[in-house]
Amino acid sequence: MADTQAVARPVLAVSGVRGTLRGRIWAARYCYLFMLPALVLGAMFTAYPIVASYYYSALDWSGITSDKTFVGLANYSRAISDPLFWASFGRSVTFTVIAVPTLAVLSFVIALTLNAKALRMRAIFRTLFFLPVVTTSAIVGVVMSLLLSPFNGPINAMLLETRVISAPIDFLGNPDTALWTLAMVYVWKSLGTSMIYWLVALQTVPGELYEAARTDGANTWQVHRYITLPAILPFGIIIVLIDTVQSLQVFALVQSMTAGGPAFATTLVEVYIYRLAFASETAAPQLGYASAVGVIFGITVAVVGALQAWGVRKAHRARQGL
Amino acid sequence: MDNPRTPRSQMSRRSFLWTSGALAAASGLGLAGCSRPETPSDNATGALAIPSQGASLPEGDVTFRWIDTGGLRAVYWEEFFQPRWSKAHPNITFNYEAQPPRRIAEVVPLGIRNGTVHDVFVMPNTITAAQAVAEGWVRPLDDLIPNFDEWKGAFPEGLFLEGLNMFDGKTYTLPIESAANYGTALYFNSRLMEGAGYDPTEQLSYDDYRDAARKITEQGNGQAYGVTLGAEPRILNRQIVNMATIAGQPMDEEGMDLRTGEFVFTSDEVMEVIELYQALNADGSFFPGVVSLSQQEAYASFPQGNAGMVFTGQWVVPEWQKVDFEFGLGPMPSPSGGSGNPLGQPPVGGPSPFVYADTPNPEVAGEIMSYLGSPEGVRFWVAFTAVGEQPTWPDILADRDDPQVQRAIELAAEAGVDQESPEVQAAVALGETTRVAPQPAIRNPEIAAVSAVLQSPTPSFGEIMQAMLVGEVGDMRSALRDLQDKSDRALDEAIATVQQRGGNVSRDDYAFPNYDPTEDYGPDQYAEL
Repeated sequence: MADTQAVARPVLAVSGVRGTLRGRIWAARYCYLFMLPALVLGAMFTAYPIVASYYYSALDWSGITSDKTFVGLANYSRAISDPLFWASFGRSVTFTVIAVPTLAVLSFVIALTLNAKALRMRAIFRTLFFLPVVTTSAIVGVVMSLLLSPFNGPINAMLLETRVISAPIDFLGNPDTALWTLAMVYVWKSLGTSMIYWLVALQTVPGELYEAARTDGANTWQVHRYITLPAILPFGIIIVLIDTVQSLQVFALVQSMTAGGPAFATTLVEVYIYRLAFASETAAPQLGYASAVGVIFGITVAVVGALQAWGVRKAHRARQGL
Repeated sequence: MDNPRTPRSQMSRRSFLWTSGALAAASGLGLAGCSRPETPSDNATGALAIPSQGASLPEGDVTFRWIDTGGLRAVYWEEFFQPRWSKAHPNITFNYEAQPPRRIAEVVPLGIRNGTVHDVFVMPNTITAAQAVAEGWVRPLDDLIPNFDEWKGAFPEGLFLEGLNMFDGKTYTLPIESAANYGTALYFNSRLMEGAGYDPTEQLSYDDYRDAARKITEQGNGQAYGVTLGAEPRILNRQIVNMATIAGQPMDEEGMDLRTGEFVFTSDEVMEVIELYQALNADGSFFPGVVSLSQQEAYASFPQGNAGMVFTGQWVVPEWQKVDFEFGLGPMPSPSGGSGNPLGQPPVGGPSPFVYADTPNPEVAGEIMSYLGSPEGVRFWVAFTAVGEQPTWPDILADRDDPQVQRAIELAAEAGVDQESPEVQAAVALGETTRVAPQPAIRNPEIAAVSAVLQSPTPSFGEIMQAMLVGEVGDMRSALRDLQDKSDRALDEAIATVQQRGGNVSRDDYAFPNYDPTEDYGPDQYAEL
């Protein structure tokens, strides 16, 4: 134990400084230096806008003109009684309920398959599955719209050819199918990240447990049922929560594929906020009100994120018990 | 004459008097020439130069940036203006940018806020000109254009209107953009239309229109459909409002009958148009996925023969003439065929250029705006960009014997804008059927304040129409009644807000009892009120 501790804190041992806070910070000064650019950018592009949006949410302001009126919590009460906001909130929840289980299960199965040491070309497959993650959402949206087009689009053509359907389906133009289609494209695009998380989780399962199980004569199903699943369950909770938070915040994909249409069928909360703040062609921009909606939604997502933090703590305790 | 060996600094009194007299005479002639149609400033080889307007231009290298909505304007700026400008002023780079209206609505307000906006920009459709003036984002042309009063005097009567392009007595933009066009004409694919057996150059009835669409779809066999459109809310709004106007219920883009100042979404004419669209939808005559198309996508793919008919405007004509595609155009259908009411349009319209208040190159802006608003400038502008609008200068291209007119038409044709082609002539003829409609903002410039605070109901008329197309509206009549009530309430609330702030506006400002949709509404009619 003493050895590992000495190894784990070489910096302090070398510089001879005891464990004071100041000493530790000074010892880790290069870490802070390297973190500085990311911190600055984070402050400018994440922290400042968040704080600013709290300020804007208390104003009745279009975002362009100079007449700002302080209205206190009026925007919030308006948002809470706004049926369009709740409708879009419901759609966001629906989207999450469709996308996240699909994503979690699919990426788990793929991770499980890719974790098997016997599979050759694992690295290539991993890369292939991860590629969609690094593509640009907006471009993916445009390309997918073309692929899904009901007029000579390849996907419809293939379905017609194989006689799965008899008439082309307007995936993105039919309010009944639009949200599901978006969810599937989202799942395809996010598969890679979830898969990596699952792979990490799977690799924390000690190999000896598998070997022991095999020598005891367990088959694959029993191995996974009694060893893999319980071991990664805590991770699974975290991964599902991460996926949930991500899917609640989907925007670029939706905006580029349907812009919230048809007839508001895919107007998720972020798309609604964007409409309010900038893009609506029929109404004047309302940055103040949009900020209030944004704050309310942000708090909701933060609550889900807090669940994740609680899940992390439970996972730690569960792992220690394993 | 003076001794050639006399240095200039030792000019004799006689030569000094001679020279200054000559200069005075020349400038007098030049000034006088400003307000008359000028002889073309061609040089001997016929290449056109941009005449100097008299502004004192900067000497060093500057870049001047201009942004507008492009289309045919881009052709004008890039093919005609830029080469001649850089020849005349090699030190001043004229940097032109074209963006669709949606992008302008994003780029310009941001640019204003961080001071990087172009020197001249067109007003985004989310801000009114009045707002921009009140915020101090744009500067008047009065002190930018050399010999401003003469320049302004050369324009035809009634184009400079307080509340439209003038604010607090100062002029902010020039009225060279016309809105008097037939922006939703029925453009058809000649080949497909022949197969269906109709001639839309004569006004079709609703039944004929529906039948033609059905026949085209049948004969198209999955590759061609009767009607295409970009079913964006804004486009649906415009199409249905225009069809209702032609059917006898004059409506402006907001859904208001300007004779009474009331919203008329629940009128029978509107219901008939909606039923027509529903019938087309049920027949399967709409191009698949219209709800996901933008208007640009719809008419950009039209030449590929995927649809028989589309409602669009004259800006497509030069594009379609470039590709080998046979098309024709006619008026929108009316309920029983035969001419209906004319479409009403504002007297001046379109995306007008404004000069940024903090532009580093106001003199350049003045020079270019001065040229653009001179008779010669307007002639070339109209030749290149107006293919069916009624230019704000009537008959600016009418005199085909005028060499400058000929030159303008020639140059435009070289750039692909053929004023003499039958399609453009047809578009011009349709444009001539439109009439000027009254504008509340001209009658009472304070109405602009109402527009600024108006919270239009959501879903809007166009959005309800889009929902109708995808079958999401159960009871259309009650949806429209709802919309009408909400629109009324929203307008009354906005008016009340402005009144509270001390504005002098009322609901009556929207009612024009002396409005006859078959006649132009001019300054005399405003005076009668």
